[in-house]
Amino acid sequence: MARRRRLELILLTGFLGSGKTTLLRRALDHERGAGVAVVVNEFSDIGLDQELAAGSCAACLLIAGGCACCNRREELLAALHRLLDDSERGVLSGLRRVVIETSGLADPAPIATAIATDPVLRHHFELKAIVAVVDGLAGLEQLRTQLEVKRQVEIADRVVISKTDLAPATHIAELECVLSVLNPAAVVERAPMGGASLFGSSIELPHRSSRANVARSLQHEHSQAVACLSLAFDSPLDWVAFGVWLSMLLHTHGTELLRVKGIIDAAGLGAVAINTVEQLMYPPEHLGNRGRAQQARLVFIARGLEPQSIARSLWAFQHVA
Amino acid sequence: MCVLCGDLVGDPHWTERSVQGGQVGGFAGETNRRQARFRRTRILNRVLRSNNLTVHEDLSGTNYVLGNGKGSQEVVQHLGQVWPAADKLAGVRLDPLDDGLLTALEKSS
Repeated sequence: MARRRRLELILLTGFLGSGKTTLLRRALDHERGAGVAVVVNEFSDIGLDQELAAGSCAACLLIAGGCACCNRREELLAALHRLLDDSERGVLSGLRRVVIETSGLADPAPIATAIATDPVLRHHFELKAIVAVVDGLAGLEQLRTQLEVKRQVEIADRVVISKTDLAPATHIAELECVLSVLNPAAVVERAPMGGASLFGSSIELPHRSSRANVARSLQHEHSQAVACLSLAFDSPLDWVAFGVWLSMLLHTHGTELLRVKGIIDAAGLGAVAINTVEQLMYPPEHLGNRGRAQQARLVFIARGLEPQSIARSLWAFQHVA
Repeated sequence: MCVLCGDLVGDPHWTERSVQGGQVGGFAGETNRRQARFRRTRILNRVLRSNNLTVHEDLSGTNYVLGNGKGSQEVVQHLGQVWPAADKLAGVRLDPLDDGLLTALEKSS
């Protein structure tokens, strides 16, 4: 029997009033909402965002009165089960994507972990991207004062700066600089009037020319030594040794290792896409011969870890293979 | 549960998944799986040696048996369970970034 495609999952996060719903509505209008379901999480007891999104997508569910990362996690999982059930029964035929719009105060990492460890959902959903929306006007101040904003940016695959048409160009440029320090591996986009693509590719790495083979540790007033290490590989890696190494690294330093993502060329297995969020390892995606050595590289984003020691450790484990 | 040995069989750990028809499949072919486990055990022994720990496979090739110099043992199924068990047996948290461990690995290669 043919294996069914897993539903794409996009975690849309961002602080209160940053422009998440505007971005979502634009994306739904652009895609005509075909095959997209939305789960809106509101911190308050009354939700309005689901009303705004409901008309343009296949289904829209509301989880109100708390954050889906903590006291409303069970409700979120129940909502995803319901969408999956409706999709399987044909009520939502053609469902391809689910967007979770988190509350402004939510931490996306526990949400991703809860879904990836659910015994049913993990087989039916595939996390494509964590997209963080940062307010172009208030973002700089929020990054200084709101821990939630910093956390959302650090964990994201893509960062969308909203309201860029309302803020001075120098202000946006400074914000981009801060964002690139907080999360050097994320793709940063500007979205005047909410106009940015929400549905993008899952693995988007920085351009090789700019960051390949560079280990650097960046200090910033907002961050406690967030470091980014980007490694490019000219030869295949030993998959068994890599598994031993990464499982040990995630066990010991998972909370400091915010993200590991990239594509490696595993000898004998072909290209394998790697994606971790803190201690959570998503099932490696075997790409076959797509994107082999040309794209073989890994990006590590860590807080409080020396990038050079991560690189040294990887090679030491490879050498004993 | 295996009807012969009584082992509970869960999802394969991500390190033990293989490619089947372009998709990530279930357990790898038995030969490949055993070869990979053999190599994994060899690498693990080199890593654990620094903390006076050893690891070997059980007869069925489904579990790892970790031991320390005092005779204590832990039986685990996959790599996700190896590290907590190793920490417990060693009495310290094993660190893949530890300079002493890396120096030992670099010398042994």
